[in-house]
Amino acid sequence: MLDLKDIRVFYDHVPALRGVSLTVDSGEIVALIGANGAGKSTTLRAIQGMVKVASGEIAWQGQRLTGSPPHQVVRHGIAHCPEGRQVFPDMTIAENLNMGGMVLGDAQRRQELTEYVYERFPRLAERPRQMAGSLSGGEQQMLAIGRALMADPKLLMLDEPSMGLAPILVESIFEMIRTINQEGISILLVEQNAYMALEHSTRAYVIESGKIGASGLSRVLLDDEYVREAYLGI
Amino acid sequence: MIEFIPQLVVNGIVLGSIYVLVALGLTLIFGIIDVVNFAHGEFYMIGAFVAFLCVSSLGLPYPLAILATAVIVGVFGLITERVIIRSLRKRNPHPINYVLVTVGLSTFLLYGVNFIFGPDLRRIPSPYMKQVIHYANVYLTTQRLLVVLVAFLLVALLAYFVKYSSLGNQMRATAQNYEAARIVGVNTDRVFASTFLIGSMLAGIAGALVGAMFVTEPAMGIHIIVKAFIVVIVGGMGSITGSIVAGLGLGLLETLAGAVMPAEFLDIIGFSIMILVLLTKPTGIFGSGGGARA
Repeated sequence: MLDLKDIRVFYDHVPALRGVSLTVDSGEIVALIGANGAGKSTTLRAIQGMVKVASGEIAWQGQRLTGSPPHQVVRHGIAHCPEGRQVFPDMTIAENLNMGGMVLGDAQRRQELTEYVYERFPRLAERPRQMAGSLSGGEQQMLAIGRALMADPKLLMLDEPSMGLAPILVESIFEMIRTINQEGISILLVEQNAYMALEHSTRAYVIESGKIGASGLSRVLLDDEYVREAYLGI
Repeated sequence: MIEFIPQLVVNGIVLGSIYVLVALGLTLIFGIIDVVNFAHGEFYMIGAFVAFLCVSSLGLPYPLAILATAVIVGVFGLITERVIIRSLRKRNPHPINYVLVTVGLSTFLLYGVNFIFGPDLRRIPSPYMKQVIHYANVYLTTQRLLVVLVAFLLVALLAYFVKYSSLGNQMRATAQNYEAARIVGVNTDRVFASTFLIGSMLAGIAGALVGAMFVTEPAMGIHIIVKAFIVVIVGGMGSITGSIVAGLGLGLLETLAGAVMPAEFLDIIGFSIMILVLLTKPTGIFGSGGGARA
């Protein structure tokens, strides 16, 4: 469904991605794990068109996506929940969700999705008029995921959804990701919490200094000696 | 003395309305695009000249001339955004570069208009200057009433637009979190262009109103932009409410103080307040350090 071939990205002539290739198939949860600065977020940003791709090809459902600006990529059904819960702080919960659904032309579908998101996240449904900036970290993360779901995506890209959350919330966020996936949305998950990411994904890629180091089935990688030593600290 | 106060208050509201109109565009452009447009005063000046030409050369009725001015200065703003601001953003978006190009544009426009039309003082012929309304001992020309009404209408429209329209929501989202706005699918290039268009239209309309009430001359932008900066800084950069409150407040204060102190000292008031605000609350009264809010 999503196919990256040899993607290279530079930040001010410094290579950030040095030839990343990966695929996400329909219905999968694919994890992208790696150290800080390895290029995980940059990969997602390249897919969304937020950074310039110097070379390589991004294909989405057979169509070429390379070079499309972000606002068009969303309209193709790829939603992005960025690192650090980038909500609109001075907008209400309802307004934030509405912004997420702005790419939908169909008002009825938007309404259905709003109800779906509120059902998923009852804590957001309790106070749609609260300003997003005054929510707790966990609530902002839920709002950011909910906002991404409002775009009615076929692929949801999640960037560090567990970052800075209490362990109990981390567990429930990952459970949520599974549920979303079971409802038919493919997931590309970027995580520093490698253990959780491998536990909850079908396949995984390990990225090291802008290149894919290892890849395979997540349960296989969980037992891989190198991955265990380098990323799981076992 | 006391009996003049109602008249002074009315005059203050008129002056304040002008400050609000000009400051709104400035604060909107800053809050959303993060660009301080030093040429904003010249957009206002060009508005006055466009309206002057519409009435005196084309023979348009004054109200129609104001509308034409809004369109023409709006398009001028769009071109400025596209040719100067956007290309800078794509190539070298350092804040100092925006200062340099907008200051350059300001100078270019000021001397360009001066070169073509000369420094003469003109006045846009407006039929409303001849009509005087009075209630008790308050007198004002219909022109002054028009200034207040237009300002009130535009402020209300803008507030509604920013809060409830789709493009307005996209503008707020872009101001609050540029990256997140792009992620959810906002075409930020379009938002920036629209913001510049709206800000320029507001400045142009203000020029068309003031150019009929006071004078139309190439340097008129310099006088107003200083006041607009004071208003925007005191009200809070990017805050619409702040600009309204600070704009009306400054207009009232200056007019009331004008009754007791010499005119050449009046400018001290605004600067003193600005310095005070910068010392005590640098983000301005309604500011929170960036982002446009209703």
